[in-house]
Amino acid sequence: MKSKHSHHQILLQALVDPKCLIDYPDSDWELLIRMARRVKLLGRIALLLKSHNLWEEIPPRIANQLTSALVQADRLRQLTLWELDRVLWALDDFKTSIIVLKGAAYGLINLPFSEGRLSVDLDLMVPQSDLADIESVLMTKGWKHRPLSFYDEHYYRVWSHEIPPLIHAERETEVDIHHTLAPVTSRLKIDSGLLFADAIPVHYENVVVLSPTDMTLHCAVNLFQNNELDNDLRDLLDLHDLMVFFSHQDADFWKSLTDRANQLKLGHVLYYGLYFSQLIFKTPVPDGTINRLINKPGYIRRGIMYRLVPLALFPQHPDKPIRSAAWAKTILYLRSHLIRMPLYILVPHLMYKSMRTLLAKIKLLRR
Amino acid sequence: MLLRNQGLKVVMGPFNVRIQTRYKPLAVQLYSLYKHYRLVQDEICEFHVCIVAERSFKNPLKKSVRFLIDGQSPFESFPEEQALAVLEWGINLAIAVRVNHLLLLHAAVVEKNNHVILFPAWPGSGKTTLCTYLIHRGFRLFSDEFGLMDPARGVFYPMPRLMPLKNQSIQIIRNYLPEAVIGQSIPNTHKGTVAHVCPPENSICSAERTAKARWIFFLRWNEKAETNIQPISDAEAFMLLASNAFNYEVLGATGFKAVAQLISDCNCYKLIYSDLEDVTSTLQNMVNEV
Amino acid sequence: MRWQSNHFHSLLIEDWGGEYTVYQPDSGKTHFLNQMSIRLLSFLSQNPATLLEISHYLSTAFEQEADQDFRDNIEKILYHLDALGLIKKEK
Repeated sequence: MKSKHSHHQILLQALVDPKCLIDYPDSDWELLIRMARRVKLLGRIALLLKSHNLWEEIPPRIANQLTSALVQADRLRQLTLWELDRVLWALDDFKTSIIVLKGAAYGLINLPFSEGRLSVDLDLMVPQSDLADIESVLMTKGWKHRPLSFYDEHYYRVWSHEIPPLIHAERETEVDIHHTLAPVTSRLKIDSGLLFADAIPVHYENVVVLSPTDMTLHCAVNLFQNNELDNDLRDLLDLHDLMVFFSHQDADFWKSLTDRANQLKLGHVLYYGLYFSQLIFKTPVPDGTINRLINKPGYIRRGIMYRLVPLALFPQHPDKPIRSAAWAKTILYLRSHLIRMPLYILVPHLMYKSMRTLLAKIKLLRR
Repeated sequence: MLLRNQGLKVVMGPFNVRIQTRYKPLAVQLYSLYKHYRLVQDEICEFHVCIVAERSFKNPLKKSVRFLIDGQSPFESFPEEQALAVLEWGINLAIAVRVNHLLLLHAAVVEKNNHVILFPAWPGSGKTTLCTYLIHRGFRLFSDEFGLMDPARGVFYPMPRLMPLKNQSIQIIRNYLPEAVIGQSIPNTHKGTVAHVCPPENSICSAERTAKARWIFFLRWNEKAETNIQPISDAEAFMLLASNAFNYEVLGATGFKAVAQLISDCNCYKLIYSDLEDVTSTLQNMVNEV
Repeated sequence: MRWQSNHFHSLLIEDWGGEYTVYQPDSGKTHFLNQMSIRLLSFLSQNPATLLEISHYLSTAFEQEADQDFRDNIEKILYHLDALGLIKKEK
């Protein structure tokens, strides 16, 4: 059977309406898996199938690949939580407040589908005044910075909102410790004091997580400010999940969200988040929510984003790459960097995250 | 023709791999070394790989080849002569990185009389050479690189692939086994000179027959040594096997239980050898005594 | 200061005739432990104990003199198990 759908639709339909998956011909399944892997959503597809009781209906070769992805997501979650456990163990008597961010936090609040999410790093936020002490305590207990060039070190210390990532000598999870949510050079100035004041406890030792509105806004900031564009669709889905989850828990969530965005001067960031989450995942945002935002982006910038974002969010067809999607990604990448830093700092800055597990496996195979 | 356009869908044990290339010298090698492999048409493929030839900016006269998986290139390009080695190695890497529904031990695996023997990979073990010899002397090839174990059923899956012989082993095997089908020697790879042995046809044709493991041998090749077999403690065998697997830790408790089951089902030994014929007859006797 | 075990009952333990492989679900690590470490873990899983109490228990169990050397060794083992997250300090 020949597919009736474009490759974008094959992925999007699976995420928005998993029931349609049972009608997929094998060729669509195959393409779905390849694209979902690319955007790190295999685990999500697997969980959707299980929650809709469709697992028994899927082709065995697909089930095996989805199982593999869930096993990997489980392992990464275990590693991240264990790293958190060890960081708290190392800090033992040190009195500070630690906010757990991103993927690990989604797990701690039991956000639906978070167990299928691939989170590689542990992201924490601490008060800036404690940052240096925490870093040195961890370094006496086995954590190290990955070897950094003088330039990278300088970038982190002076321009970034976090210290260089720490990795324990015997483990592989990177610990990123932030003192604010956006880089120092970014035009966004988010008052960390307000975030700490509203943070809420979870059932895990004595760490806290951001309040529902702040967690949502942090997700939106990441989505439209950060440079790891390959995770964009996943990050937008995080935003959708958070908004759906919190608005079910609290009827006033939408109002609190827009109020907080205005207070933190993140109106334009949330504007894009709401717009694209609604456009792509049909998030049930109540009418009038967007209008409550002050400092929305201007018409021209909006126009550019409307065209570029959807192109950049979806993975290309693995066998037929088209240039325009690659261009859209390049432009968005530059844009996210321009917001983060002035151009004169940006140009020499080029870094990529090393693929440590990949390298380890290459080493095994080279023997 | 298919190889050039949609790609050939090749059955490699439990996986289907779609291979596509327009690079002619590779196509010629593949058609000869892969001729016994089963092809499929409409089945789902787990891996979609491609070798593309390109000219570099630095040296436009020299061609290089790049390995693509799902249209993406996970590592740098290589000199064109290495195309086959790069393809084979790329497929192995993809399996090692992506597959977690099976436990992937790093071992050469052969079978006889329905009993699997594992030879865990160890630097200096000479597993590929011994494995090549055994499968031309009545043993069936499962894999020279992957012990694919189904943790739920406790069985191993065959995945007979081309076996890369390295350096001196190439000549040793050519001398001992003139009947072996061996591809051209590829010099200067990251493993030195490599030549690929095609598994015997009967190993490829019975690649769907799974079996349980009975013996584990930790090999050491020593030029002057007589064949020598010493038992090794179960706990040590456990740690050696687990610490050298591709995804033992990823599988968590499932991996631990699978290895524990495997160790209690198997006899574990250290095996020092130099003479391929001698060690083969020792292993044959051992299997026949069961 | 007293030591206590950390999720002892979640551990998967395989006994290979006096040598043990131990899977720790919290970390996903597999540890290779001897008889004394296993006895120590299971002792602490019943009640938190001080270094002296632990040394006394183990010296009796393994018929060894509970002298300074023995206590130093136990202290090293405790330090190691603490770093692995198999035991923790009582708060």
